[in-house]
Amino acid sequence: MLRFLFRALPHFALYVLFYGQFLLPAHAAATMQLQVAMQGDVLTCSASPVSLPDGLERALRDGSEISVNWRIIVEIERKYWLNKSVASIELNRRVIPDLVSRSWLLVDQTSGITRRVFALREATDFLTVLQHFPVLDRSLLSAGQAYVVKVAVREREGEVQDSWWRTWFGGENSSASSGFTLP
Amino acid sequence: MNSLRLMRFLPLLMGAALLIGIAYLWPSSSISGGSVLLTWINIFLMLGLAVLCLQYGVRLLREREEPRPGSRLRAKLVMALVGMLMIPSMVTQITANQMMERGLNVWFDVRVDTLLDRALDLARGFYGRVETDLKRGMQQYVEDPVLLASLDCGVDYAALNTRLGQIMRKEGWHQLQIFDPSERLLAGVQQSGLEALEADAFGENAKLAVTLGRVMTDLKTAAGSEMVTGFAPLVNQQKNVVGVLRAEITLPAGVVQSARAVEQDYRTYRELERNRQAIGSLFTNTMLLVTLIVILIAGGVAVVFARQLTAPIGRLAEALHRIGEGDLRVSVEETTHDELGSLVQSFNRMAERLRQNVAALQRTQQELTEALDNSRQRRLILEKLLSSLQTGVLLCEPDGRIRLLNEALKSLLSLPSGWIPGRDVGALCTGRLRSIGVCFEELRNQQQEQLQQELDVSVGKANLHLLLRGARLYSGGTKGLSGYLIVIDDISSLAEAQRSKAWAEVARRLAHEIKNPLTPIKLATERLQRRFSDQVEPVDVFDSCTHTIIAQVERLQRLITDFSTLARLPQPRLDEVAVLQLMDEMRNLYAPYARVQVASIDVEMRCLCDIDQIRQVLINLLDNALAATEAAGYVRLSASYAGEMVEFHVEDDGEGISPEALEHIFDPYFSTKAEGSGLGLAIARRIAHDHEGELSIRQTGKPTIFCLALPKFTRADSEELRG
Repeated sequence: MLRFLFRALPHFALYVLFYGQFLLPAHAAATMQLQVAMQGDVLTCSASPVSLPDGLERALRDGSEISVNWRIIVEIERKYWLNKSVASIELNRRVIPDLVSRSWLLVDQTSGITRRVFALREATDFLTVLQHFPVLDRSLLSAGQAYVVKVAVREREGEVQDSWWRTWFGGENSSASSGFTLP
Repeated sequence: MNSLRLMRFLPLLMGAALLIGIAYLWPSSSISGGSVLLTWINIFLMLGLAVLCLQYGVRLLREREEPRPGSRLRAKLVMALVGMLMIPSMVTQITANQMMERGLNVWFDVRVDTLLDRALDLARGFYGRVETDLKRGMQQYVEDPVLLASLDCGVDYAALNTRLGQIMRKEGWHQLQIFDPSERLLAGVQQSGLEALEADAFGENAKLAVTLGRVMTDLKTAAGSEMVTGFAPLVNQQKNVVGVLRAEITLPAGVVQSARAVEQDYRTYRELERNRQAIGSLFTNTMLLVTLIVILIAGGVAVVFARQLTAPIGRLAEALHRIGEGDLRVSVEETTHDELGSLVQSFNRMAERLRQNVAALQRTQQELTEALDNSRQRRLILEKLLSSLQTGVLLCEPDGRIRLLNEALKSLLSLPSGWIPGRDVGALCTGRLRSIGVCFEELRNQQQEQLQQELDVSVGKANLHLLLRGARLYSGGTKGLSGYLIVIDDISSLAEAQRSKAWAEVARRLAHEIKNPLTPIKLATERLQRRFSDQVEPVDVFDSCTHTIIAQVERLQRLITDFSTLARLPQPRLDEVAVLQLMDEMRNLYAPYARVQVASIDVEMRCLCDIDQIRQVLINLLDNALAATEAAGYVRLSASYAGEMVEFHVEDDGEGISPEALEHIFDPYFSTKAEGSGLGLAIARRIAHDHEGELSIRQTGKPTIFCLALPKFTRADSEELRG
């Protein structure tokens, strides 16, 4: 058995070398504008992609449903170990076009609030812009501690399917991170 | 050779092609969904194949020693089968991609695009028309006095309902409701009855209508039907909103269904149009996935098939290799019952036969080796026997060629160098050896199986008396003549001994028969002479006769004495003798003869002999020499060492010895002198022989040299004498 393992080890290493690179997490470039601010006792963030995802407006105009998944993570950065997660928030939004009435139904799946708009700009902003989005209460943060806020948005056509394996395929459309230290 | 090298690089080339294919397939960001998953699956499969190919290719390149039998054939079979599947699969894939591309071009035609746009415009026009009509109709009732009056001074529900009913019927709306600014339903009518009079909460458009004071419409979907809802603020003369009029038109189900179907088609079409590249990629990836799976399955099947096919071949090749290396205990397991199984059976039979033949061959070889060893041993023994024999042996072929002759024969006959195996005996037996050739011819031609003859052959200066015995040799019975065997013995000494013995016997008889009467004859004659010499006349004649009788009797007595000496010659009493002593004695004895010259010799010279007998021999030789030189000439006596012998040389300047006399000079009773007995040299030679020496004639004239050779006295002789 050991002999077989020793013989198979080089082959296994070769396979790992070839396939392992695909399992490593993709390092996304900062393609998003991100501002973190304390508004009163609430940590808020404002985020928007540098540019709209390719074909987003066209898809909405052509009647395709578009969903976005925002993921906001607050972590304590550690040098020699994985960052310690403080908070992780997910926000799912969806736009359902109505070609007949030339309107777009905006659905905040997290809160359940819907709104119909008749301007495409409103629909795209709904999907791609977070404005002063409340993230954390100040009481959950420690003074003088350095934190990192990571924001990533993933966009797809149709409804968001929360399958675990979907994160394996296709990277995030936009992401950014910003550090701050609570005074 | 080149094709073999190319075959070595083929797996690497295939691996490289797969890696290039992977780079080409690498998913771009514009492709998403199932196509990406398929792409990744394909990439993984292709990577797996590439790794397998590269691994096998590297192993082939690094392979230095001969691979296992059958492995290359298996690899070729696998590659051939996979290639046979891959090529049509790739062709099918390319063709299908082309067809797919063309199909997409046909599908996403401009006419279809225009048609869908128009259909959607129609649907939009219908909805827009309904909304526009609704807005226009409601605009008429924004300042409707009846409705405002009903709201101003308390709510007149009856009047309100009546007016609402009138409006609904007039406009053809399906539902009409009136709300106060606080969104409280005041009154409402509808065509479908009362069960749905419960009012929905105000939406954003309704609130906007109140806020902005404008007529707003909204689209509402419920229970499979769609309604266009309009909100119109009721404004009094002070321009205050005192209520909100809500009208609803239920769109015809058929139209809605058609409009939504058009919308859905349009949406699908546009989605497909946008994902046109992804569709192509999906199709390509699907086809590629199928191809890869087929190749993998085919490869697996090919490996299994090739392994089943090549395993017996590999075992056969290995078995052949082992047989080639000399291991004949090889048997291949029969696993199949097809042609390969038959081949394996044949191979096993062949190997078994080979094993038996080799075993038989080995046995035969062993027997032959043993026989050869025996033959060599016998021949060695025979050669040793022949070489140790003093007898000359000559073995001839049936045709007369020499097969074998021993050293004894060569030295005995002093054969020339031409006597070697293979030469014809008849041709070689010439001159002095002619008599041997005659005997051999007689043996070949005679009827008897054996032949025995005595021959005289001169060898050098000696004349040998030989006994030749010949016999025919047969290999199988008496029919197959295999050659002739001739054995030659030197019987000169034997003949000499026999002759001496014969002469000794004659001498003994003569001495016995003659000597006895001689003495009384002599005595009687002497008595007659003494008694009657005075009485007989003439005295001179009487004296002469008696003297003659006495002299002849004395001569006869000496002759008889010599005969007796020859017959009863005693064995020599060997002792160390100084040669100088002998030489001095001879010098003193023959001092009166001035012609006799005795040479000076080394004082230390010694010989082993009986001094009395040797003295007698020397006297005999010197007397003969003096007799031969009576007229004139000298006699010389000398002595010297010659190897292990001491040689006495007696020379005389006489007439020499004639060839006729030379032949019989040592024979008894042969003399050239008138009064000689002819026994002197015979006795002298016998004495020499008894001393293990030799008496010979070195030179037959001018000067005549007799040589007496005696053994030199050695230390061994001294110890033997002391012992």
